[in-house]
Amino acid sequence: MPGMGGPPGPGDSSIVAEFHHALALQGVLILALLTVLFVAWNQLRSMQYRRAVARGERFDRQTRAGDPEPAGRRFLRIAFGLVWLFDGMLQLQSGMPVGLPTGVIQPAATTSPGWVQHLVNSGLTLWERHPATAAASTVWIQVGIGLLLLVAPGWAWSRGAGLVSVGWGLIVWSFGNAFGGIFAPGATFLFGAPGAVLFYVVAGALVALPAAAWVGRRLGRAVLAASGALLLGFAVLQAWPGRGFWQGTVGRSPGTLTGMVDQMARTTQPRPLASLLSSFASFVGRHGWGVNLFAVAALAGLGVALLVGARAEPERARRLLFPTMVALAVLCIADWVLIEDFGFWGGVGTDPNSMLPFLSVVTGGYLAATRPAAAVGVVVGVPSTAPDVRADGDVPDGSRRVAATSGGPATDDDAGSQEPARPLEPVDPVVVGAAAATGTDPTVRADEGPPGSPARPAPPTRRSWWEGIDSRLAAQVAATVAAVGILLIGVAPMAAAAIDRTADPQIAVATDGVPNVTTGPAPAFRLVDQTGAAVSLADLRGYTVVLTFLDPVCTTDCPIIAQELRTASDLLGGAAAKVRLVAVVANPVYRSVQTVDAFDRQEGFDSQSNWLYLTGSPAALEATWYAYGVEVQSSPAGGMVAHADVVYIIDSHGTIRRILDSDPGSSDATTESSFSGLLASQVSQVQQQ
Amino acid sequence: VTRRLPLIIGGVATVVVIGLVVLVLTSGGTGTTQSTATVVAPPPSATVAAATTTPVRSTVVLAMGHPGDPANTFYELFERSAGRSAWTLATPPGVADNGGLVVGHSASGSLTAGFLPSGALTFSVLATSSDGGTTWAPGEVPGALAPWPDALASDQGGQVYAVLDRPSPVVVGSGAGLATWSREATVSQLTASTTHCSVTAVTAVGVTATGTPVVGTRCTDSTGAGLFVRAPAGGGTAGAGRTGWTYVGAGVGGSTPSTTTVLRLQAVPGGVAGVVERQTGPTASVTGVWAGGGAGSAAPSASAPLAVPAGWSVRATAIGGGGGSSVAVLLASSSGPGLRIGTLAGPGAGWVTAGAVPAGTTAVATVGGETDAFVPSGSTLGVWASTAGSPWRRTATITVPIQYGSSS
Repeated sequence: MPGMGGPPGPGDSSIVAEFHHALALQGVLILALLTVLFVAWNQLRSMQYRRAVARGERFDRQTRAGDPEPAGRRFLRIAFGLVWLFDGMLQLQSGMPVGLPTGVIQPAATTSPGWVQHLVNSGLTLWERHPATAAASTVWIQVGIGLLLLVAPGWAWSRGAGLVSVGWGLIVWSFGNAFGGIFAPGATFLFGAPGAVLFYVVAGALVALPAAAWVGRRLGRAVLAASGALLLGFAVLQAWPGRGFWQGTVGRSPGTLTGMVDQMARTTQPRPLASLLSSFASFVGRHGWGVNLFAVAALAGLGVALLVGARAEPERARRLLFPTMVALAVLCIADWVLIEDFGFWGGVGTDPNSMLPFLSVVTGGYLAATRPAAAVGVVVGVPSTAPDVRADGDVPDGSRRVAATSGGPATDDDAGSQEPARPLEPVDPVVVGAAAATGTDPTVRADEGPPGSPARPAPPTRRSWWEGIDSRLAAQVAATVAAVGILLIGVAPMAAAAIDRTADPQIAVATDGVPNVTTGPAPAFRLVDQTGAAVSLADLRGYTVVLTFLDPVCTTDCPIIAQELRTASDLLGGAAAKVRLVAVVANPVYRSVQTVDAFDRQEGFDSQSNWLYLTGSPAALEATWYAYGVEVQSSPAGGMVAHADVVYIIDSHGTIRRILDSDPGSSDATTESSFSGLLASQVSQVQQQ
Repeated sequence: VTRRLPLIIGGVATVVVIGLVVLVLTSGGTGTTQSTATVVAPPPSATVAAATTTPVRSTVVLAMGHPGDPANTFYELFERSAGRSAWTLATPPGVADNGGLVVGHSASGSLTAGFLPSGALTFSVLATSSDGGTTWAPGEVPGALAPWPDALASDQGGQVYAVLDRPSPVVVGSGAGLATWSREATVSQLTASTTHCSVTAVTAVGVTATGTPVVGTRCTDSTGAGLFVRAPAGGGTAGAGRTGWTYVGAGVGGSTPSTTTVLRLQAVPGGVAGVVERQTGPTASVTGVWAGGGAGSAAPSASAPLAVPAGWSVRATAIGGGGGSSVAVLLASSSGPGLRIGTLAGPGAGWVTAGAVPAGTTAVATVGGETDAFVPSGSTLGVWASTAGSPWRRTATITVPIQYGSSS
């Protein structure tokens, strides 16, 4: 009967179970990868230890001091690595597979222009077709990006991590955030515009810049100036009349900001927090004009301060920017708590909203402007912490620090160049350990002995290549490989899902329940097909029969079910030749061959070779309905005939093997595709029995 | 080697420009929500409520349920046999009629109902009754009926004519028992038969008591109603040419070329009666027309036009009653509760208008000397009656067993 099957809800147990299953499966893969990497790393250390013991040396490590990564970049890399990790953890919430599209993505696009909604909907299709796969993949992609940002050794790897962050961030920002709502009428910085993920993208892009870009103050100044301009722009928007921000209440309705806070207060969250937000909503309702005035002034003031600070001389900039940063932090955190409500409550929160990411980007810019990297000492094109120490203790030319000079007095843009160069000395780490243990100069080779002493003979054996591998670097490389592996474990199923146009059968299961597996003889029938030829169930022996009951003048479910059957047949490919799609008329009035033929033409079934639409006398039809437990009721007053939506799968020997509820409910392309996939898989199973 | 910064963003000025670009982008959302596309659901079927009275019975078709929700708007057929005072529900079963219901009367009193397509159903089916709608027999028609109140007509011998919208706009006629159908007229055929009317759609079909089919159309650049009569076998009708149809027209007021639409066409004693709407720019009017049944019959005649006030529209029509040839229209304000009934007693009569109409009336019927007004509210139908201008009195309240949700 129409309307019985509803769409799956966010807490649908079958889809949640599928999501957890996918997570577990991928988690096992990741665990295996981590185990292999750990064993390999530990094996290396063990071998190094045993060899050192055999040589009578102490096994100790000393990594090179002096990481050249600028403070601002390091801050961004670590901060956004943690943020991506946090976002990945949020994606673990059970409500994500079904709730993300309906609870987050679609609402975000609702007030945006049509082209934004169209774009978002096109992206939503993937998620809606494969909710469990998409949700699980997103977990691992974001965890992978976060780990990669945190552990990637040196510039090249971490720049790659930045680029990956940019790429995924842009996908999330456009398809998941509807561009942060910047095209929506109510866009406001206070509520999250221009979107948290845009700041992830900015941070990723900054991390992805070449090392030379971080030399001097110029990059930091640019970040601060851009942030200042952004705040000024949003101050103008906040002050713009007619957008409802100046009113706490409009008549009996809440003003724009009051409504936003009130809405957030109703999110599922700890009670004290909800109370705090309710109180703040009341406060904004009473003092809307004053609150907005403060917001406009704060945004404009901080914007101007950042712009001025970005242009000021270093000392003055430092004096101006520090209090600005403190004030910005206070504003951002207050907004994060009181208006954005932390961003991640409610069961489908995907990120901590925009305030912390924005503050992090500005902080990165502040550090880049006030604690610039030196022009010298920058390792170009190789990992910064890579010792690249060969067994003979030498360092390849390419990994030497660039001991260049600035060639003149430092300018504002390259002030850091005044920092003296620290050339890297070639050090044998094993020897260093031994030297450190004996209190000798670690820069002196072990076979040279202390200064002034006679030279000792060289050790009897040559050192293997792996003895020189720095274990910390090895750990970093292993962690990076793990991060890339986790990323790929997320990307691969997501990519496969993107090209699979058939929705997961689990959606149909969520809508209509699990197919009933049964064994029993299929009741016989003898009817006529759409050409008037007599057909009985016995005539169909040797074929797998997909049997359903359709009203030829149905205005809702029946055409959908018929198309689902045809799609299932298409999915079966060559196996469909041994399948017969059989529908029996489910209308006591409109049951003529002509009406059945009209239905076939309407649905384009007149050329479907394995399709039979059977009808017959009222007595023959009623007997068939009764035998298969299908109740058919004529409705008065213009109502459609009501009947059960059910599909029987009868094997080639005439035994019923599956019974599926086929009610499409409030169907869409995804649920229809899902049912077809489920039906095809069930038919395949029956064929293989 | 000291490297200069290869920044894409260079200089504070550039940053300010970018800030302005962000401002411009975001200001797309300032101030107004007009840029947000609002999708307005199309109204339910444009079918005008229609009532018909023949010497045997009266019928009326009107929308009930939830008019704002197409899936829960149901078109109901009520029947009142001659000599009885009660209206009874006679909607044929077996098909959802959310798209609309059209009814054709034959001179013998049989009814042919047609279901307009709705939802996923793209073709129409028929139902015929010879007992006033107590029992119905199913039938087929080769396509989808056009959404006009008189898209169906039948003659005394049981031949049915139907105006189809799909697969192409055409008039088809049935053989015995609705088993076979043949093409009777097309838009191009009708257009080719006259220079007075450029036919853009067939909107009605009627059959005179003598079995002559009459077709009504929408014409552009015309001063007359698009009425066409089937030429008798063997030809001989002036203007019929090779098409078999003769334009009989009927002046509907004014010499300014307009768009005219035949809204109704029903058999009445001596031929057919119809309602024609004329649209000239923003000005609209309705006219009653009467036409005979072909060669030798009386020339078509038309009433004076009844102006349709700006912002008003024709909500319902009724044909029959009175002396058998009366015509009534219910005009309704699009923006308010305003209602007005205009009645023509027959050819040559003038419009009699009444502004006092029961609130919420969506259909009217003329039965004998009585005018009935139908006021639906959800599943309940109130029937009001007025005789010869007397005050309206509520005569019945009918509860209809509407199955809400059965079509969604």
